[in-house]
Amino acid sequence: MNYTQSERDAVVLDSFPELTYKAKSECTENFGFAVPRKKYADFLIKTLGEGVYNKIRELFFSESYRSGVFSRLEKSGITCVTYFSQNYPESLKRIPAPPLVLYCRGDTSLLAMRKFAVVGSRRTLPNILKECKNISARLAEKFAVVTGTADGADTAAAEGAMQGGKVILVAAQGLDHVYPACNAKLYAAAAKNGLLISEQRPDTAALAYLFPVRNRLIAALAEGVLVVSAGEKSGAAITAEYAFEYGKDVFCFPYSLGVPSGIGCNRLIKKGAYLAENILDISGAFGLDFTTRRAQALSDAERRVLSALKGEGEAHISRLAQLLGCQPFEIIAELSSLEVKGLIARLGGNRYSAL
Amino acid sequence: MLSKVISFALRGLEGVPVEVETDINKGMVAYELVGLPDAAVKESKERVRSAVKNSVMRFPISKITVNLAPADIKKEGSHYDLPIAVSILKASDQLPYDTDGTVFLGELALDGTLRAVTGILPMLISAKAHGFTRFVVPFPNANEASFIAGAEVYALKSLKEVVAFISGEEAFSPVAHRSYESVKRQRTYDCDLSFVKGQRVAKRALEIAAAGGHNILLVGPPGTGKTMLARCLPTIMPDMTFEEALEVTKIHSVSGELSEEGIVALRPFRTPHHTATTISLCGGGNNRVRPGEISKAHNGVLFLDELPEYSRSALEALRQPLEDGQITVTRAGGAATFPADFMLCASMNPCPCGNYGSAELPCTCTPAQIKRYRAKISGPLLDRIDLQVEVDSVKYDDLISDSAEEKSAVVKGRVEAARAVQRERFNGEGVRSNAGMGERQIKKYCRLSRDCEDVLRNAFESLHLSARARSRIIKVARTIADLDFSSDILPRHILEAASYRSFDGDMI
Repeated sequence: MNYTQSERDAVVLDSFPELTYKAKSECTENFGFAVPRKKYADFLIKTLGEGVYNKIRELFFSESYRSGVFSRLEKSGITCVTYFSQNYPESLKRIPAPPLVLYCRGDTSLLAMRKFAVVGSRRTLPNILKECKNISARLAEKFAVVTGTADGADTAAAEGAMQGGKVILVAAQGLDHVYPACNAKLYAAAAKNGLLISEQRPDTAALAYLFPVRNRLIAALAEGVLVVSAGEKSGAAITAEYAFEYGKDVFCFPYSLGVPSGIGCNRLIKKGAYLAENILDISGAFGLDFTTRRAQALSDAERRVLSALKGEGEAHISRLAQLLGCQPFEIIAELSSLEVKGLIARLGGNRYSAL
Repeated sequence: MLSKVISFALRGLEGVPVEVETDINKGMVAYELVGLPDAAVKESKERVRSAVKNSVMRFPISKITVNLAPADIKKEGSHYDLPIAVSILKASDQLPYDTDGTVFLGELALDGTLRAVTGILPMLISAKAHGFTRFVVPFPNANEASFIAGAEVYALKSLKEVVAFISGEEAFSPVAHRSYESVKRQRTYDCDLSFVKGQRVAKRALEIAAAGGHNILLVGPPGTGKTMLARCLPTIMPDMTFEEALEVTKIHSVSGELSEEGIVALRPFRTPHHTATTISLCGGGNNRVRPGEISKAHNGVLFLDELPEYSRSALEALRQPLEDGQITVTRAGGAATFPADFMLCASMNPCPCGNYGSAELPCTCTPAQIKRYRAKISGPLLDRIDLQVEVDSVKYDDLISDSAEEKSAVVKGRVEAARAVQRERFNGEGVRSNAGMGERQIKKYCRLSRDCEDVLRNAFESLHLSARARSRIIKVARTIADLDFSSDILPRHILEAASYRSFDGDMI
């Protein structure tokens, strides 16, 4: 990997855990340059202490330390996109605290694509997960879908995006760590078929305060944010708040009263987020054309079950059977077939929902 | 003087003839018992001495040696009291009569009364196979012994009666033979499928499970009637034949769990607690190997409530018996093979908090927590559970209160019809039900039309089913077709079968 001098300086500057974000941006006049100027020596000595300052100063210019930093990054397959790089996303420069370095694994050219964020809570209803997957697959036809790495809605969005096109996963922790551990496969797939990025040094462990920090990146990178689910206290809602702040469009799935995983969504809609029921609500706002998919062939029985379910929205199999005037087991086959065709979702407990 | 009396020892479920030999000699007064007796058998010395004395007989005061031959088998249990007593009485010339061909089994009380012993039925069956037809057993065991045709069983109350019987002083009539059918008719299950309101999907799944002998997993929030449903499973299974009932009775007799009735006429329903060890499930024991819960559930249902709470090793140990229908337990005291052809019915919560899929209560688990919880059940075990069905979280009585619930007997009728179809199909194949089909039989009897193949392929792709789900779905589809009296498997059968797999594939 060939880096320019200022890119190299930026990566080395970012490699000192002792330097806080504030220290780094102060001593470079908000990233005006990559090498801290002499005139900030007093400031740095004050914040770091003289011993640490001298050590950092010495290491910063030491050739062996610098090559060590890059060989470690290369070893774990990480490329860096810095504030000074050509392909650093412009949208990040416009936010109050842009990251100095983005540690990337995968195809960094995705950073230049149009980007759309799909986020949600870990506790998301199964039908919403399915819908989230479908919609991000559609979005990925035109955008690189940006999302987090949590399980639940984020995972669904990432899986959908990988079906339809490209995904950018933004991790809160350094890329040497996988969090949550059960998503190791997703991380690998994103690095292979998309892009995995983090603002933190690779060895940074996943700490609670890093997640809201990461959420600002998702909001900053994307042109718009779709919140598929958000509870009372939710990271997805934080992402949306950042998006409002940065002047991005926020879209939310609507929820009925009393659904715990939808309280945040409804609250965002109250604050001025767009209500999105399907891909067309989003494409309209961006002037994009998402042609509708062709309808699937359904048998008469399937059509009857589907229309009964659509009338109820969400129903227990006994209720459906009652509506159709038959025994529950007689419609199991139809429900199963509709599920196979991706028209309905199983909610657990023998309840179903139309999509 | 020397005497010989025949009794039996148990090795697993097999009876082995034991000769109780007594020699009375002049010499130092002694009373020795040899031939690998265990503690209970050694103690019989004292019981026999008191029982003989209290039955107004004389206990010889000389050098007595009692030998239990063959000497290489560990003798366990209390049923040697009677043969030892008879043998001593014969050796001391108090009973100068011929007892060849008569088998003595029984425990003695100190006053000479005969007490019930365990394992009478398997010993009697083995003894008959060895050519013995005359038996003396304790009176409380009469019921158990009454089902064996062609055996002349005398159920006597005390040592005194035994002496009177041997000497011919008193005439006793053998236990009257009872027919299994008459007992079976009197016995009914405590629960009935009609007691369970709603739960139509789960009931349908139970019907399929019973019809095809499939193992079933009930997934549902706590307090939704999973246990109640499981208890109804035996009530819709076909009645046991006499041979099946005998197999079960033998096992229960050996474990000393037989009721007054003397025969197990209802399919057993065993519910070992989740703290059960591997040994208690599979069988074991120090000297005599005893059957475990899976054998006691033979021809019936083994119900494991809260499946993920069982220890991993205990669950993994079930895999081989689930496949073979029997288990060979090898211990220091020897190896024994017990039948263990049971239907596994398990239940569990859908997630750690229990509310996943509930309409009323919110589930507070993250997908990772749910995955971890479900991963406690290993793939290979899940592989052997053909039906995974969700039990409703909500009471839907108000929705369907007008419709009457079906009685177990009605469902059982349909199950029996489907079983009859299977019996005809698998005639001479060594397979009892659809669940027992191997790859070869699946190829032969479950040919899928092009439509079915398409449906199955689509289901796999869109539902993210694992490869191992395939044969499971086909087997269940075969059973659904049998319930439908359809000789071919139709797409709708495949689709219904595919819906009983809440555990395969991911949650999205």
